[in-house]
Amino acid sequence: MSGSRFAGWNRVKTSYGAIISDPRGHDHGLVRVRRRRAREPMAAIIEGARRRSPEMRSAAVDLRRLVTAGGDHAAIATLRANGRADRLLGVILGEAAMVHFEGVCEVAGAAGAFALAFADLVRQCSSGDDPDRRRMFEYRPPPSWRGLRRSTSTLWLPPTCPADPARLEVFDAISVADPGARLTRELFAPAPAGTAAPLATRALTGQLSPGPDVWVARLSDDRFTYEVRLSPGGEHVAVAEALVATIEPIPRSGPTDGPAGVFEWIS
Amino acid sequence: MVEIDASEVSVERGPLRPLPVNLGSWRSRLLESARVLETIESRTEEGWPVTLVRSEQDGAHQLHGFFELIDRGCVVAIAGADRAAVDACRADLERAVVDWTSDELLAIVQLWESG
Repeated sequence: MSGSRFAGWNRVKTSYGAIISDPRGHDHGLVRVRRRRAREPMAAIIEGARRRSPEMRSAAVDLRRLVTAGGDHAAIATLRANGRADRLLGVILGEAAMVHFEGVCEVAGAAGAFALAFADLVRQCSSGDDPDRRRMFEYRPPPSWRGLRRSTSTLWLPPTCPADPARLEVFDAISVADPGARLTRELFAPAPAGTAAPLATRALTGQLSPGPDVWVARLSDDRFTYEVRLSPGGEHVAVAEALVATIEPIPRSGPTDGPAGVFEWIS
Repeated sequence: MVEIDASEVSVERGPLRPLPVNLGSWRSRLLESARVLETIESRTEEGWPVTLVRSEQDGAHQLHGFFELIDRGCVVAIAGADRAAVDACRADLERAVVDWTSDELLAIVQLWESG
Protein backbone atom coordinates (compact mmCIF):
# COMPACT_ATOMS: atom_id res chain seq x y z
CA MET A 1 0.00 0.00 0.00
CA SER A 2 2.70 2.42 -0.91
CA GLY A 3 1.66 6.04 -0.63
CA SER A 4 -1.33 5.32 1.56
CA ARG A 5 -1.80 6.31 5.15
CA PHE A 6 -1.40 2.63 6.07
CA ALA A 7 2.06 2.25 4.60
CA GLY A 8 4.32 0.73 7.23
CA TRP A 9 1.55 -0.55 9.46
CA ASN A 10 1.88 -4.02 11.00
CA ARG A 11 -0.21 -6.74 9.38
CA VAL A 12 -0.89 -10.04 11.08
CA LYS A 13 -3.08 -12.90 9.88
CA THR A 14 -5.32 -14.42 12.52
CA SER A 15 -7.67 -17.39 12.66
CA TYR A 16 -10.62 -15.16 11.80
CA GLY A 17 -9.00 -12.65 9.46
CA ALA A 18 -6.32 -10.10 10.17
CA ILE A 19 -5.14 -7.38 12.52
CA ILE A 20 -3.60 -4.19 11.21
CA SER A 21 -1.93 -1.95 13.75
CA ASP A 22 -0.02 1.30 13.99
CA PRO A 23 3.73 0.64 14.36
CA ARG A 24 3.80 3.02 17.37
CA GLY A 25 1.53 0.63 19.27
CA HIS A 26 -1.99 -0.76 19.30
CA ASP A 27 -3.28 2.21 21.29
CA HIS A 28 -2.43 4.50 18.36
CA GLY A 29 -4.61 2.47 16.04
CA LEU A 30 -5.84 -1.08 15.70
CA VAL A 31 -8.06 -2.52 12.97
CA ARG A 32 -9.54 -6.00 12.98
CA VAL A 33 -10.48 -7.27 9.55
CA ARG A 34 -12.62 -10.30 8.88
CA ARG A 35 -14.59 -11.77 6.03
CA ARG A 36 -18.08 -12.95 6.89
CA ARG A 37 -20.39 -14.93 4.63
CA ALA A 38 -23.49 -13.41 6.19
CA ARG A 39 -24.36 -10.10 4.54
CA GLU A 40 -26.04 -7.97 7.15
CA PRO A 41 -27.58 -4.49 7.07
CA MET A 42 -25.46 -1.85 8.79
CA ALA A 43 -28.09 -1.54 11.53
CA ALA A 44 -27.46 -5.19 12.51
CA ILE A 45 -23.68 -4.68 12.38
CA ILE A 46 -23.93 -1.65 14.67
CA GLU A 47 -26.18 -3.58 17.01
CA GLY A 48 -23.59 -6.38 17.14
CA ALA A 49 -20.83 -3.89 18.02
CA ARG A 50 -23.00 -2.44 20.77
CA ARG A 51 -23.55 -5.89 22.24
CA ARG A 52 -19.81 -6.59 22.23
CA SER A 53 -18.91 -3.20 23.73
CA PRO A 54 -21.39 -2.13 26.43
CA GLU A 55 -19.81 1.34 26.62
CA MET A 56 -21.07 1.89 23.04
CA ARG A 57 -24.70 1.05 23.83
CA SER A 58 -25.88 4.63 23.75
CA ALA A 59 -23.21 5.92 21.37
CA ALA A 60 -24.25 8.34 18.65
CA VAL A 61 -23.75 6.99 15.14
CA ASP A 62 -22.34 8.85 12.19
CA LEU A 63 -22.72 6.95 8.93
CA ARG A 64 -21.07 7.61 5.62
CA ARG A 65 -21.19 5.71 2.39
CA LEU A 66 -18.36 5.23 -0.02
CA VAL A 67 -17.27 3.27 -3.03
CA THR A 68 -14.01 1.38 -2.92
CA ALA A 69 -11.31 1.73 -5.53
CA GLY A 70 -12.44 -1.71 -6.74
CA GLY A 71 -15.96 -0.42 -7.38
CA ASP A 72 -17.62 -2.10 -4.38
CA HIS A 73 -20.23 -0.40 -2.23
CA ALA A 74 -18.94 0.27 1.27
CA ALA A 75 -19.87 2.15 4.40
CA ILE A 76 -18.24 3.43 7.56
CA ALA A 77 -20.05 3.96 10.84
CA THR A 78 -18.46 5.98 13.61
CA LEU A 79 -19.78 5.24 17.10
CA ARG A 80 -19.22 8.11 19.51
CA ALA A 81 -19.74 7.68 23.26
CA ASN A 82 -18.90 10.47 25.69
CA GLY A 83 -15.41 10.13 27.10
CA ARG A 84 -14.64 7.02 25.06
CA ALA A 85 -12.54 6.47 21.99
CA ASP A 86 -14.58 6.36 18.80
CA ARG A 87 -15.29 2.91 17.47
CA LEU A 88 -15.06 2.71 13.66
CA LEU A 89 -16.99 0.06 11.74
CA GLY A 90 -16.42 -0.44 8.04
CA VAL A 91 -17.94 -2.87 5.58
CA ILE A 92 -17.30 -3.69 1.96
CA LEU A 93 -20.12 -5.47 0.18
CA GLY A 94 -19.27 -8.46 -1.99
CA GLU A 95 -21.61 -11.13 -3.26
CA ALA A 96 -19.98 -14.14 -1.64
CA ALA A 97 -19.20 -12.32 1.57
CA MET A 98 -18.82 -9.02 3.35
CA VAL A 99 -15.49 -7.67 4.56
CA HIS A 100 -15.76 -6.15 8.04
CA PHE A 101 -13.34 -3.65 9.59
CA GLU A 102 -13.45 -2.62 13.23
CA GLY A 103 -11.03 0.06 14.36
CA VAL A 104 -10.20 1.90 17.54
CA CYS A 105 -7.60 4.48 18.51
CA GLU A 106 -7.06 5.14 22.22
CA VAL A 107 -4.72 8.13 21.80
CA ALA A 108 -6.91 11.22 21.70
CA GLY A 109 -4.51 13.33 19.67
CA ALA A 110 -4.17 10.62 17.03
CA ALA A 111 -7.88 9.87 16.53
CA GLY A 112 -8.39 12.23 13.61
CA ALA A 113 -5.49 10.83 11.62
CA PHE A 114 -6.59 7.32 12.47
CA ALA A 115 -10.12 7.98 11.17
CA LEU A 116 -8.64 9.20 7.89
CA ALA A 117 -6.38 6.16 7.67
CA PHE A 118 -9.28 3.84 8.44
CA ALA A 119 -11.36 5.34 5.62
CA ASP A 120 -8.34 5.07 3.36
CA LEU A 121 -7.99 1.38 4.17
CA VAL A 122 -11.64 0.62 3.46
CA ARG A 123 -11.59 2.64 0.24
CA GLN A 124 -8.41 1.02 -1.03
CA CYS A 125 -9.50 -2.55 -0.34
CA SER A 126 -12.05 -4.57 -2.27
CA SER A 127 -14.42 -7.44 -1.61
CA GLY A 128 -12.10 -9.67 -3.60
CA ASP A 129 -15.03 -10.71 -5.81
CA ASP A 130 -14.94 -10.60 -9.61
CA PRO A 131 -15.97 -7.09 -10.79
CA ASP A 132 -18.07 -8.76 -13.51
CA ARG A 133 -20.03 -10.89 -11.06
CA ARG A 134 -23.81 -10.90 -10.93
CA ARG A 135 -24.41 -8.36 -8.19
CA MET A 136 -26.88 -6.30 -6.21
CA PHE A 137 -27.30 -2.71 -7.30
CA GLU A 138 -28.54 0.41 -5.59
CA TYR A 139 -32.20 1.42 -5.66
CA ARG A 140 -34.80 2.67 -3.18
CA PRO A 141 -37.10 -0.21 -2.09
CA PRO A 142 -40.84 0.49 -2.05
CA PRO A 143 -41.80 1.87 1.38
CA SER A 144 -43.42 -0.70 3.71
CA TRP A 145 -43.13 -3.55 1.21
CA ARG A 146 -41.58 -6.71 2.69
CA GLY A 147 -38.39 -8.16 1.25
CA LEU A 148 -37.20 -11.70 0.76
CA ARG A 149 -33.71 -12.29 -0.51
CA ARG A 150 -33.36 -15.04 -3.13
CA SER A 151 -30.14 -16.41 -4.60
CA THR A 152 -29.87 -13.79 -7.38
CA SER A 153 -32.73 -11.41 -6.69
CA THR A 154 -34.74 -9.67 -3.99
CA LEU A 155 -38.48 -10.23 -3.95
CA TRP A 156 -40.68 -7.41 -2.61
CA LEU A 157 -44.20 -8.14 -1.39
CA PRO A 158 -46.92 -5.54 -0.75
CA PRO A 159 -47.89 -4.75 2.83
CA THR A 160 -51.18 -6.61 2.41
CA CYS A 161 -49.63 -9.83 1.13
CA PRO A 162 -50.67 -12.58 0.68
CA ALA A 163 -54.17 -11.17 0.09
CA ASP A 164 -52.51 -8.95 -2.50
CA PRO A 165 -50.67 -11.39 -4.80
CA ALA A 166 -48.31 -8.80 -6.31
CA ARG A 167 -44.63 -9.69 -6.52
CA LEU A 168 -41.99 -7.12 -7.38
CA GLU A 169 -38.67 -8.78 -8.10
CA VAL A 170 -35.38 -6.93 -8.49
CA PHE A 171 -32.79 -9.14 -10.16
CA ASP A 172 -29.11 -8.73 -9.49
CA ALA A 173 -27.35 -6.90 -12.32
CA ILE A 174 -25.78 -9.04 -15.01
CA SER A 175 -22.51 -8.02 -16.61
CA VAL A 176 -22.36 -7.74 -20.37
CA ALA A 177 -19.28 -9.93 -19.97
CA ASP A 178 -21.52 -12.73 -18.67
CA PRO A 179 -23.70 -13.76 -21.65
CA GLY A 180 -24.41 -17.12 -20.02
CA ALA A 181 -26.29 -15.47 -17.17
CA ARG A 182 -28.32 -13.33 -19.56
CA LEU A 183 -29.23 -16.33 -21.68
CA THR A 184 -30.36 -18.23 -18.59
CA ARG A 185 -32.65 -15.38 -17.57
CA GLU A 186 -34.08 -15.09 -21.08
CA LEU A 187 -34.81 -18.81 -21.20
CA PHE A 188 -36.55 -18.97 -17.86
CA ALA A 189 -38.20 -15.55 -17.74
CA PRO A 190 -38.55 -14.04 -21.21
CA ALA A 191 -40.02 -10.56 -21.39
CA PRO A 192 -43.57 -10.28 -22.84
CA ALA A 193 -43.33 -10.25 -26.64
CA GLY A 194 -44.30 -7.38 -28.88
CA THR A 195 -45.01 -4.68 -26.31
CA ALA A 196 -41.62 -3.17 -25.60
CA ALA A 197 -41.25 0.60 -25.41
CA PRO A 198 -38.17 2.73 -24.82
CA LEU A 199 -37.39 3.53 -21.22
CA ALA A 200 -34.90 6.01 -19.82
CA THR A 201 -33.98 7.06 -16.31
CA ARG A 202 -31.53 9.69 -15.17
CA ALA A 203 -28.67 7.22 -15.45
CA LEU A 204 -29.74 4.35 -17.68
CA THR A 205 -31.67 3.47 -20.81
CA GLY A 206 -33.56 0.38 -21.82
CA GLN A 207 -36.96 -1.07 -22.55
CA LEU A 208 -40.27 -1.39 -20.81
CA SER A 209 -42.55 -4.38 -21.50
CA PRO A 210 -45.82 -3.57 -19.74
CA GLY A 211 -47.69 -6.86 -20.11
CA PRO A 212 -50.82 -7.52 -18.03
CA ASP A 213 -49.38 -10.64 -16.42
CA VAL A 214 -45.87 -9.37 -16.02
CA TRP A 215 -44.42 -5.87 -16.27
CA VAL A 216 -40.72 -5.84 -17.06
CA ALA A 217 -38.27 -2.94 -16.99
CA ARG A 218 -34.86 -3.74 -18.37
CA LEU A 219 -32.18 -1.07 -18.24
CA SER A 220 -28.53 -1.14 -19.13
CA ASP A 221 -25.34 0.79 -19.52
CA ASP A 222 -22.13 -0.26 -21.21
CA ARG A 223 -21.34 -2.73 -18.40
CA PHE A 224 -24.47 -4.17 -16.76
CA THR A 225 -28.12 -5.03 -17.33
CA TYR A 226 -30.63 -4.22 -14.58
CA GLU A 227 -34.04 -5.87 -14.50
CA VAL A 228 -37.19 -5.37 -12.46
CA ARG A 229 -40.34 -7.48 -12.83
CA LEU A 230 -43.79 -6.90 -11.42
CA SER A 231 -46.45 -9.59 -11.56
CA PRO A 232 -49.29 -9.21 -12.11
CA GLY A 233 -48.61 -6.08 -14.07
CA GLY A 234 -51.62 -3.95 -13.14
CA GLU A 235 -52.20 -2.37 -9.78
CA HIS A 236 -48.70 -1.55 -8.57
CA VAL A 237 -47.10 -0.24 -11.75
CA ALA A 238 -46.58 3.17 -10.14
CA VAL A 239 -44.64 1.51 -7.30
CA ALA A 240 -42.47 -0.36 -9.79
CA GLU A 241 -41.88 2.77 -11.85
CA ALA A 242 -40.84 4.68 -8.74
CA LEU A 243 -38.36 1.96 -7.83
CA VAL A 244 -36.91 1.83 -11.34
CA ALA A 245 -36.39 5.60 -11.34
CA THR A 246 -34.07 5.24 -8.33
CA ILE A 247 -31.75 2.62 -9.82
CA GLU A 248 -28.12 3.66 -9.70
CA PRO A 249 -25.55 2.03 -11.98
CA ILE A 250 -22.94 -0.26 -10.46
CA PRO A 251 -19.97 1.93 -9.45
CA ARG A 252 -16.89 1.87 -11.62
CA SER A 253 -13.55 0.87 -10.22
CA GLY A 254 -10.91 3.54 -9.96
CA PRO A 255 -7.14 3.77 -9.75
CA THR A 256 -5.66 2.22 -6.65
CA ASP A 257 -2.30 1.80 -5.06
CA GLY A 258 -3.93 -0.33 -2.41
CA PRO A 259 -4.11 -3.99 -1.61
CA ALA A 260 -7.29 -4.81 -3.61
CA GLY A 261 -8.17 -8.08 -1.90
CA VAL A 262 -7.27 -7.20 1.66
CA PHE A 263 -6.52 -10.75 2.71
CA GLU A 264 -4.17 -11.29 -0.21
CA TRP A 265 -2.40 -8.10 0.80
CA ILE A 266 -1.91 -9.35 4.33
CA SER A 267 -0.59 -12.78 3.44
CA MET B 1 -44.20 -15.58 15.05
CA VAL B 2 -46.41 -17.95 17.00
CA GLU B 3 -47.72 -17.17 20.48
CA ILE B 4 -48.63 -20.34 22.38
CA ASP B 5 -49.45 -20.90 26.04
CA ALA B 6 -46.88 -23.64 26.70
CA SER B 7 -47.94 -24.56 30.23
CA GLU B 8 -49.52 -27.86 29.14
CA VAL B 9 -47.67 -28.55 25.91
CA SER B 10 -44.14 -28.40 24.55
CA VAL B 11 -43.47 -26.18 21.56
CA GLU B 12 -40.62 -26.54 19.08
CA ARG B 13 -40.19 -23.81 16.50
CA GLY B 14 -38.09 -24.71 13.47
CA PRO B 15 -36.06 -22.20 11.45
CA LEU B 16 -37.32 -20.59 8.26
CA ARG B 17 -35.75 -22.55 5.42
CA PRO B 18 -36.08 -22.86 1.66
CA LEU B 19 -39.33 -24.68 0.95
CA PRO B 20 -38.76 -28.24 -0.26
CA VAL B 21 -40.00 -29.03 -3.75
CA ASN B 22 -41.90 -32.08 -2.49
CA LEU B 23 -44.02 -30.84 0.40
CA GLY B 24 -45.51 -34.30 1.01
CA SER B 25 -42.16 -35.93 1.58
CA TRP B 26 -41.10 -32.99 3.78
CA ARG B 27 -44.02 -33.74 6.10
CA SER B 28 -43.64 -37.53 5.89
CA ARG B 29 -39.96 -37.35 6.79
CA LEU B 30 -40.67 -35.38 9.95
CA LEU B 31 -43.54 -37.65 10.95
CA GLU B 32 -42.16 -41.00 9.81
CA SER B 33 -42.28 -42.56 13.25
CA ALA B 34 -45.64 -41.06 14.19
CA ARG B 35 -49.17 -42.32 13.52
CA VAL B 36 -50.88 -39.61 11.51
CA LEU B 37 -54.51 -39.09 12.52
CA GLU B 38 -55.56 -36.10 10.46
CA THR B 39 -54.18 -33.66 7.91
CA ILE B 40 -55.87 -30.27 7.50
CA GLU B 41 -55.02 -27.79 4.77
CA SER B 42 -55.59 -24.37 6.27
CA ARG B 43 -54.44 -20.76 6.15
CA THR B 44 -53.21 -18.38 8.78
CA GLU B 45 -55.34 -15.35 9.55
CA GLU B 46 -52.91 -13.38 7.37
CA GLY B 47 -53.61 -15.83 4.55
CA TRP B 48 -50.39 -17.87 4.37
CA PRO B 49 -50.85 -21.60 3.67
CA VAL B 50 -50.35 -23.89 6.65
CA THR B 51 -50.81 -27.65 6.75
CA LEU B 52 -51.82 -28.91 10.19
CA VAL B 53 -51.08 -32.54 10.99
CA ARG B 54 -52.44 -34.28 14.10
CA SER B 55 -50.53 -37.40 15.12
CA GLU B 56 -49.57 -39.67 17.99
CA GLN B 57 -46.11 -40.87 18.92
CA ASP B 58 -45.02 -42.89 21.95
CA GLY B 59 -48.27 -42.08 23.73
CA ALA B 60 -47.93 -38.33 23.19
CA HIS B 61 -50.32 -36.25 21.12
CA GLN B 62 -48.76 -34.02 18.48
CA LEU B 63 -49.83 -31.16 16.26
CA HIS B 64 -47.46 -29.98 13.55
CA GLY B 65 -47.94 -26.78 11.59
CA PHE B 66 -46.10 -26.70 8.24
CA PHE B 67 -46.03 -23.06 7.17
CA GLU B 68 -45.38 -21.90 3.60
CA LEU B 69 -44.13 -18.39 2.86
CA ILE B 70 -43.57 -18.02 -0.89
CA ASP B 71 -40.44 -20.15 -1.28
CA ARG B 72 -39.66 -20.58 2.44
CA GLY B 73 -41.15 -22.91 4.99
CA CYS B 74 -40.98 -23.67 8.67
CA VAL B 75 -42.42 -26.18 11.07
CA VAL B 76 -43.88 -25.60 14.51
CA ALA B 77 -44.34 -28.82 16.51
CA ILE B 78 -46.59 -29.03 19.55
CA ALA B 79 -46.71 -32.09 21.79
CA GLY B 80 -48.31 -33.03 25.06
CA ALA B 81 -50.06 -35.74 27.04
CA ASP B 82 -53.41 -33.94 27.00
CA ARG B 83 -55.01 -34.27 23.60
CA ALA B 84 -57.43 -31.40 24.16
CA ALA B 85 -54.59 -29.05 25.14
CA VAL B 86 -52.64 -29.98 22.03
CA ASP B 87 -55.64 -29.64 19.73
CA ALA B 88 -56.46 -26.26 21.23
CA CYS B 89 -53.16 -24.96 19.84
CA ARG B 90 -54.55 -25.13 16.32
CA ALA B 91 -56.02 -21.66 16.75
CA ASP B 92 -52.63 -20.36 17.88
CA LEU B 93 -50.98 -21.79 14.78
CA GLU B 94 -53.60 -20.18 12.56
CA ARG B 95 -53.02 -16.84 14.28
CA ALA B 96 -49.27 -17.00 13.50
CA VAL B 97 -47.91 -13.86 11.85
CA VAL B 98 -44.79 -13.55 9.75
CA ASP B 99 -41.86 -11.83 11.43
CA TRP B 100 -40.33 -9.87 8.58
CA THR B 101 -37.33 -8.61 10.53
CA SER B 102 -34.20 -9.96 8.94
CA ASP B 103 -30.47 -9.81 9.50
CA GLU B 104 -30.00 -10.46 5.80
CA LEU B 105 -29.16 -7.57 3.52
CA LEU B 106 -32.11 -7.07 1.16
CA ALA B 107 -31.10 -3.83 -0.55
CA ILE B 108 -27.85 -1.91 -0.76
CA VAL B 109 -29.40 1.18 0.86
CA GLN B 110 -29.44 -0.80 4.11
CA LEU B 111 -25.65 -0.40 4.16
CA TRP B 112 -26.03 3.26 5.07
CA GLU B 113 -29.05 3.10 7.34
CA SER B 114 -28.23 2.92 11.05
CA GLY B 115 -31.61 1.53 12.10
